[in-house]
Amino acid sequence: MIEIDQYYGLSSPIHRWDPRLKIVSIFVLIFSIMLLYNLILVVITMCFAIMLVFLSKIPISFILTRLKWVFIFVLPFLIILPFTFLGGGIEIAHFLGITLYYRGIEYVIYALMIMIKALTAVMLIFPMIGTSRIDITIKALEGLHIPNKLIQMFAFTYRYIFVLSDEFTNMERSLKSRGYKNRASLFSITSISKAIAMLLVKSYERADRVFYAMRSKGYTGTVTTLHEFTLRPQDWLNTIIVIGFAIFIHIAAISSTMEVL
Amino acid sequence: MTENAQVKPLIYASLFAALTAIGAFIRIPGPGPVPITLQIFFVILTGLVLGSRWGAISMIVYVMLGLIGLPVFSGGLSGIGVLLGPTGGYLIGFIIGAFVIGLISHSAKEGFTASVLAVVSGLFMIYLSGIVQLSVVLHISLWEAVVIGVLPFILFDIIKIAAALIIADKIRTIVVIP
Repeated sequence: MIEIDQYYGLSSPIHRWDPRLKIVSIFVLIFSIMLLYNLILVVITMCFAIMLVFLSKIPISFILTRLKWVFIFVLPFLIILPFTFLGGGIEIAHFLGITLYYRGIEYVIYALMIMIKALTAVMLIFPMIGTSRIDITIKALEGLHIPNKLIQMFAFTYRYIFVLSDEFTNMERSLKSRGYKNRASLFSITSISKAIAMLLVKSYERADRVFYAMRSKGYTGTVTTLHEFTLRPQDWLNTIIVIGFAIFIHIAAISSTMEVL
Repeated sequence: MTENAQVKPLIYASLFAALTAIGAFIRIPGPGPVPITLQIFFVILTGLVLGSRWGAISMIVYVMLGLIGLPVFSGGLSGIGVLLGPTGGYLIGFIIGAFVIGLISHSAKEGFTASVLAVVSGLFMIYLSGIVQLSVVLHISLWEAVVIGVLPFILFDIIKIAAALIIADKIRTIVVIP
């Protein structure tokens, strides 16, 4: 479910890029596209993001599976956005005493822009953290001066997600093997509720075991790893290209706004 | 602070962050086409069990994991794009909500009444944060944001509140955060 780094073993310029600079650069790019409100520039940024994805060699089918969920998630908002029931547009329908108005083409464009931005932002996650092993990514965050305690919690949480997900999948499988079907009935809800309660009990037991294991191994509050990062000129060049593009796109946005004025 | 006092909350906060992530994937069949997920349930439980400080830290860890790219948000989404997108306010609301729930429920001597007040306040903070961002990002009025961002979910969230209150009451006797 969460194995975003399953293609970390491929060889590409994005894979070879220093994880610290890679995270910062692509993070800036994602932030940059979210602050853009110009459809043409948003599309250009999406093309740049697609280029990064191609460079990373991560299979497109893997990325599309995730993008499908973004599309499903954002779609309802986009359908609603060009319409309002508060007035201020063209009246298009009247039901149950409520009048529905169409707000105009600019809202359709705005909705489209939100969709492209959402897809691009999620697409960029793959070159950002899908090209390094997750423990290296977490270690890279330490290099970005994120507090050590928080980083340890990231690592614990990441591990727990897998463990708990496995536990729940096992419970679900055993329910299904006994003829359980996931549908809206009192029986289904009761069965799932019992499984969730069991998940909580197992989580508690596991947390307790982890606590005693850490204490018995003399946990001092810091975790050390053997991986060391080294910076090459190519890492800086990649960073300059990506952050440079993020800045350029905003300069273009500002100058196009000034032209309009 | 002793080592135990440092380690135990750290483990539990991570555990509840993981449970919140899992909550996005556990789908309970509902009467409508959209299945019910359990994120809000685990956010409430986090606040009630861990208190304000560790509850908020746990949710910060959850949001930050999603922010760096792990697909832990609803629908398997992740990244700063989600946080700055239409529904990002709910994620900020998780942090504020867990903090408020922990603050009210752990500061009062009266158990159950304070817990009810805490979770209602917490849910209000989650909704408030959610609809403000929904309204700003989608350029819609706050009232329209309430119609699409609160009304369809409120009934199920009340059921989740009830479940969280009952479960938290039992867990709090076992899980004691120093």
